[in-house]
Amino acid sequence: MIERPEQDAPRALDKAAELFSKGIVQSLLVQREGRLAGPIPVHEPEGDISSWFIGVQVGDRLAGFIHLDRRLELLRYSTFQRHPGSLEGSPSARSWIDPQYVLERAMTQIPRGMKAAEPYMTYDQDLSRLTWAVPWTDMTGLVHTVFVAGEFVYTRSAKLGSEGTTD
Amino acid sequence: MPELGISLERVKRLAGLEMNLVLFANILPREIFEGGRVVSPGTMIHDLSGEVLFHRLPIVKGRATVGYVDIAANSAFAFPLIGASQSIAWDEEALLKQAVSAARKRISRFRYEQARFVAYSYPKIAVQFLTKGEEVVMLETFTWSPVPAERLREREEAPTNFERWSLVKETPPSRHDENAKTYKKHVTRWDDVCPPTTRPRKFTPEILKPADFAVIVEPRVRLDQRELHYSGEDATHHPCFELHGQLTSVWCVAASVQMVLDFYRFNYTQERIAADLGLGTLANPNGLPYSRDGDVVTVLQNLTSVALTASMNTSPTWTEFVAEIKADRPLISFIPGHSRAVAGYTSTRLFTWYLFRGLLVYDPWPPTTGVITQWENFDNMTYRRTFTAHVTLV
Repeated sequence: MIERPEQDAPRALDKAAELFSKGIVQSLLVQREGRLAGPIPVHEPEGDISSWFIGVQVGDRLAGFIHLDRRLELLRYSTFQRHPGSLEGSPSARSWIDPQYVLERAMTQIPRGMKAAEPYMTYDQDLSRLTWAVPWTDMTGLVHTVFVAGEFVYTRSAKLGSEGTTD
Repeated sequence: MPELGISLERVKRLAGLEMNLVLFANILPREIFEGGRVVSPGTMIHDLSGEVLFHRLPIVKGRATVGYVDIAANSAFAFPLIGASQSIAWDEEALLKQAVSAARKRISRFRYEQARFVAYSYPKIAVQFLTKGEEVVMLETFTWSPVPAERLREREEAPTNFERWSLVKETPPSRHDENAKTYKKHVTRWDDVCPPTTRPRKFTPEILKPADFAVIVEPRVRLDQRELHYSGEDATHHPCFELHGQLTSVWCVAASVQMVLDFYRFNYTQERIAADLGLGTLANPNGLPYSRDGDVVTVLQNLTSVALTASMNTSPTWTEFVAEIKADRPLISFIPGHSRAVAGYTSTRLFTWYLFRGLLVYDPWPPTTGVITQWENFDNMTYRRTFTAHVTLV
């Protein structure tokens, strides 16, 4: 079979729509008012596409997301809803699905005058820890990365030693 | 040969059995399909190669069509049930009429000998008109746009969004062989559960009645599900576990401990818990090194003045998750590089050959918000540690 992960976006959306119509979302509020956002590829740190993130929006809030693996099999449906009937505490949809907004958030931690590359979605340590990555280059040509997970912006500091950590 | 040679009668029967199963397991909404019938083998959907790929069977309730189910007939698929759609009618006759009308608008003196439905770019469907075996035109259903002729692609080149390609040809031969074996095994299992020659009492596969279906699957089905409640009386007590997002990119352990302590009404700030775990400060945080996993036990006990007795398990099992949840106790679960809290489980076993085990995971990632996953597939994950805590009794 020809590998064409970047061409899988329409199929990822079809699969997500199928799961949505089958009732994967258990909140009646989201079943009634939710709509699927466009699929976003989740890249391995090395660049390959590892999986797909399909946001489930209610108005301008992100109620949750469907996470499919690269074969478009369901990995999980995860919800930001603390309680099924409420969107209280759910992040704004744009903080997860709008690369331009992600870039704006990243720029708050990138020195003024430095140029950032296109944001891409990836993960931090484990595939369950989804985040956007925004690479930028300093004056000496060294490439750094700022991570944006919703409204949370961070950089990873170098670890001391080779021991694994639970983060 | 990719076509599986399934008879039309068997297609109908498989559609009924598979639909009854998903309704019985509450995977599809009962209110829409219950009482429905699979009345015909439906529409054959062909591959571009000409082989039958699957059947689309309408589900009829009274005089209305409430949805349809797609049943595989080709080794491009490993299992009979491809999918089901609700509230979308599939009316083969009406679609053909629309297709003919659209073709007439596009082609003067439009003539054809045969029309068939084709998955021109699976799962997208078109109507293909043929004369003497040659295509006259192929129109995409509903948009009625002509599907462009096949173009030569480079070996590694992917098809574009609106382009015909064959699912049968794109599936490697080894996958066809594997799928055909899996499919046949699945059908044999159905025959074992509901023999085609003898009709079990009360149950007709083509009629969607989960209660009747239960007659043939019980006692071969086991559903077991629970999430933490205020007591063991689930019917009268609410679920009671709350999510905390991690406040830094490396404080998943502190957030997980916070969720468990909150459950027992020890309301510490995450900063305090992080400090006790040696995870630094908000301004200068760090993760918990693997060599200090055991600190979780110490902190759970210290911050409750040993009102909680905690323990660490280095080889987590399904049995442990179930036992703890049944006892109304949350767990902390470490997977490689990450920590979360677990507050529920579900287990569905149908017959001897279908088992799904899932955990209700309160995941402190993403930072500050966290997320609840219902259900994490237990059999697809690597669990490194679990931490349990129970109230210390005197």
